[in-house]
Amino acid sequence: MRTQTTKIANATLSAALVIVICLTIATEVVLKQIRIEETQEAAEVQDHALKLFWELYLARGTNWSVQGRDLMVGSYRVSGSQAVPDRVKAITGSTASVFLDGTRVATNAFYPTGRRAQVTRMPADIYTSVVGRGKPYRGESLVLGEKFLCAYDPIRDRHGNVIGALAVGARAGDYLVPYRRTALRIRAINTVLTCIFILCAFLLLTERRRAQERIEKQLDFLQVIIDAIPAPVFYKDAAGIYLGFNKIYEEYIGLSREQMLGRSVFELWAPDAAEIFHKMDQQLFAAPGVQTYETSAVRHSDGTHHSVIMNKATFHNPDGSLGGLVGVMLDITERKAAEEETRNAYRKLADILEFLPDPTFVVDQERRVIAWNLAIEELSGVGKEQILGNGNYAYAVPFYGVRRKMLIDLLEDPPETQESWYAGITRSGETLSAEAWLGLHNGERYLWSAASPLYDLQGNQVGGIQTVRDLTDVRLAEQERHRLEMQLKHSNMIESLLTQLSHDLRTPLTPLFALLPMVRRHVKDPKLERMVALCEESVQQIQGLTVKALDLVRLSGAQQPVQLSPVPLAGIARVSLHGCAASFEQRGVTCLNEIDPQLSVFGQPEQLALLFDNLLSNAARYAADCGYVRIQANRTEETVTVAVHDDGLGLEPGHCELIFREFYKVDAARHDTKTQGLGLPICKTIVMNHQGRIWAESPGLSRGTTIFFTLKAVEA
Amino acid sequence: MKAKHIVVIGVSTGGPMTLKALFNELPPLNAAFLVVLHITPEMDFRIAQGIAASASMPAELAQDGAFMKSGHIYLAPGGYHLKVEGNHRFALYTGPRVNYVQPSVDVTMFSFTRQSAGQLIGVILTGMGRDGALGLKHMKEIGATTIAQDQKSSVIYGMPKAALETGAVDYVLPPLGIATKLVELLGGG
Amino acid sequence: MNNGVMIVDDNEHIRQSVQMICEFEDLDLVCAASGQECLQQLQSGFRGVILMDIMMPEMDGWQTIREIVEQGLYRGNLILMLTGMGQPDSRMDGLQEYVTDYLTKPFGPDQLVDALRYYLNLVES
Repeated sequence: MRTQTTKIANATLSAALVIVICLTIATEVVLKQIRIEETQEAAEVQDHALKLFWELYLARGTNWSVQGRDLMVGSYRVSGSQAVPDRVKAITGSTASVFLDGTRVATNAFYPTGRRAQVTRMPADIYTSVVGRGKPYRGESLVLGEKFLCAYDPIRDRHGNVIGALAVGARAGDYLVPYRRTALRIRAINTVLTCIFILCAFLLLTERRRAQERIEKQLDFLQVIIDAIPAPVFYKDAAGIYLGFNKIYEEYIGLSREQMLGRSVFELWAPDAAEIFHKMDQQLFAAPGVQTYETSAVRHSDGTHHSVIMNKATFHNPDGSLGGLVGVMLDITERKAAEEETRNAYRKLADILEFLPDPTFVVDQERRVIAWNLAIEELSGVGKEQILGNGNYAYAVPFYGVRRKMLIDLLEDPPETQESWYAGITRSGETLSAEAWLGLHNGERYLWSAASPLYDLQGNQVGGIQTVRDLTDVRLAEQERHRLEMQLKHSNMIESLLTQLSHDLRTPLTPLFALLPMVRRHVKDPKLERMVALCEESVQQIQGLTVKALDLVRLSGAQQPVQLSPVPLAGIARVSLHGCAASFEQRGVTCLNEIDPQLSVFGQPEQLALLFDNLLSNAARYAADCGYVRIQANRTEETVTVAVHDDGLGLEPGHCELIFREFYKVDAARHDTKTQGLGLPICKTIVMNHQGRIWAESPGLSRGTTIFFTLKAVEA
Repeated sequence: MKAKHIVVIGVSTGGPMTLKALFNELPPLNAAFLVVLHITPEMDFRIAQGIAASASMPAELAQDGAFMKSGHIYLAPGGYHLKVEGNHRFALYTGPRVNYVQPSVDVTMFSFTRQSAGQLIGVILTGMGRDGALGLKHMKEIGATTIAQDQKSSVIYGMPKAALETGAVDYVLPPLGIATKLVELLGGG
Repeated sequence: MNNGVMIVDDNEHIRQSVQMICEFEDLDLVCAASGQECLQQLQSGFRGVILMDIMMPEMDGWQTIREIVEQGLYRGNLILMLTGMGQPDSRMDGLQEYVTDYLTKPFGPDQLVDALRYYLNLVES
């Protein structure tokens, strides 16, 4: 296209140039003709003037001679006589000069200073021609530095010898003036015309070029646009020949633009792809309009196979005939890969769901089960194959035995409806949760469950997910904890009551304690004295109870763990033994402390002392009369086992554990007012505070009892 | 004559009756007894008299600058801290209360130093608070035999318990047991 | 005025018990049902052995002792505390010297009389 434009421009220019040249030549020819005519006319004028010059001298004489240094015609001295030249000038207006030999001797020519131009010489070439050879001269010559049109005739003497010359001349400027004026006008017109021509040609050219550029720019822009389209774009004519395409299309094919332009599909594509494209092109041309189809036959120049959606549309020529088609290939390879990816992700999600430790199932919008994971299979006892795809509340059957609504069905219901199905339903955002005892295949279970709607990316609800958690154990543990808490609260209450009671009992006990001995002392009647003594014993018993009860409460109510430090065991036992010495003596019981004096245990000395006090006072009470009590301790690695053995009352089988209960008394001690049935419970509490064990062994009634307890040994 | 054996007894609440019970049982022994009882200057002389009345040995208030003598019972006077210089000479000090009390058992017990010959015995009897616990530990560290009263016989089981908790107590005994132990340790005369 | 015994206790039965015992033993006894009454008795010139209950409404035993000491009424007296428990009590820090002995409730008549005689003897000497 550009070439064409240039050609037109060149042609136009040449035409303009030719016209201008012709015009100029024509003008110059005409002008030259005019000039020649003007010059001939001027020459005739000069001839005429020369003739007149000759005639004027002929009137003076006919015989030209040189006398002395003067030129004479007849007797008329020519030299220095200006009358004739002046006459010529007056008549013809021409310059007239007479030369003797080559020297001007009479003339009407003046120097610019006003002096007559006598004695100047004629030009050498003219002299040679006129004087030398005796030939007249007609033509231009320089006279006094000015161009003149001249006519020279030789002057001959009577012998025929050339002795001088007559010359007339007219200033070139003078006779050419009209010519020049005309020429000037014609040239001016000529120039103006030329200029107009050239200008027109130039404007035309510029305009043409601009139009050209505009079109080119438009074409470039279109190319840029289609190059900018990130999908391969091409257009073909009605014969299926490629007219153009964008960069990406080039990359697709892998050939250069030049190689591809003007080719058909069969030359650019592999046969299979070309066949498809060709067939589809034909279909489109047969039914012009828009065509869309998907194909995976496309092979990129880099060797990879691509899936594309081909969009084609026909276009028409201005005359309405089918012009060709435009096509866009949408590469959907990545989209396909992404779809594959999404499918994988879904598969992974399904796997995750499958192995989620929480029993979970998913339903679609029609409430059909689409996922039923391992954990829920296990919980419900229903396998996937039995339930997947089932609707109509099939999922409720394993839990309720009937088809009914579950949480997942109540997501959009108003709270009243929800409450009618589940008590204590809670909503957090869109999630509903509830808990209940349900009879499952493996028995009564306490289940917690939560359900949420499922949405797709566009926010459309596509189903629901419900997860169930077996909280039976947690629930039972909670109930157990609650029971323990209540128990603790209860025992704390009893403890504080007991403490208060023990304290408060002391006040009313004080007068009894203080006064009863006084009364007994002052009573003389033995009966009354016995009565008072009985009262005294009762008071003693009450006092004993308050002290022991307080001990027990204090020991078991220890809020902070007991601080254990190394304690020499034998020493503690000895102190207790000392305290009980009176009781032992009273019954003639021998007590043997056989604990190794080197043996130390981790303990709280005060509590250990109380432990021995209780055990030894028991032993003193229940040992056989004049019997013996043995205290032994055995160390095994980290544990010391202490045994307090007596040879007395013994225990019935089955009583070995009962004796550690509060207020329990063996039959023999039931009516013993000096004992309260709290000694061994106190011992048990103390041993427990030391993280030890305490137990009793007895071969049977009347065969003695051994109380064992363990403590932590201190490394020797 | 410098006393060969020294028995330092720290006691507070319930002290007079306990001291009475203790000294009732003690025969004259070859030792100087120094009793630090938490007491006011108003009562110290009378308490000393009370002890003297029940003991087989003479009892008196410790005089500033006096020397301890064997076979004597000394009571730290109220309103002062009592130190024993060189393990045999009394020195009375005023100054801030220690463990809220004056005289303080800790002050007296800490004034003792290891002695080459003769026995040192530290005893903590019934009383409130913790005074004497660290002092008894110090006594133990310089070679003394240490005794604390047992819980059952203590009117207030505060000071003996605090002493026991330092781990520096050799014997835990009631007053009668302490008397027996002292006789045993001091060789009955 | 002869030295006597003062029982300070809010429980009337205890006061009466102590009173009866003292009558038998020929001991002068003054009864005070509260810390204030105790202070009034001291201000009126009582000197002797004071049996002081710890747990009393309004002004307890320790507060009463503090008042006695602060009002300069301690001289010539000797205080025995009466309480239900033989456990240390942090409220008595700094008052040890003013409390000569401790009687644990309930106490027998002999225990009471022995203590009273012993301490009366100390106060009077």
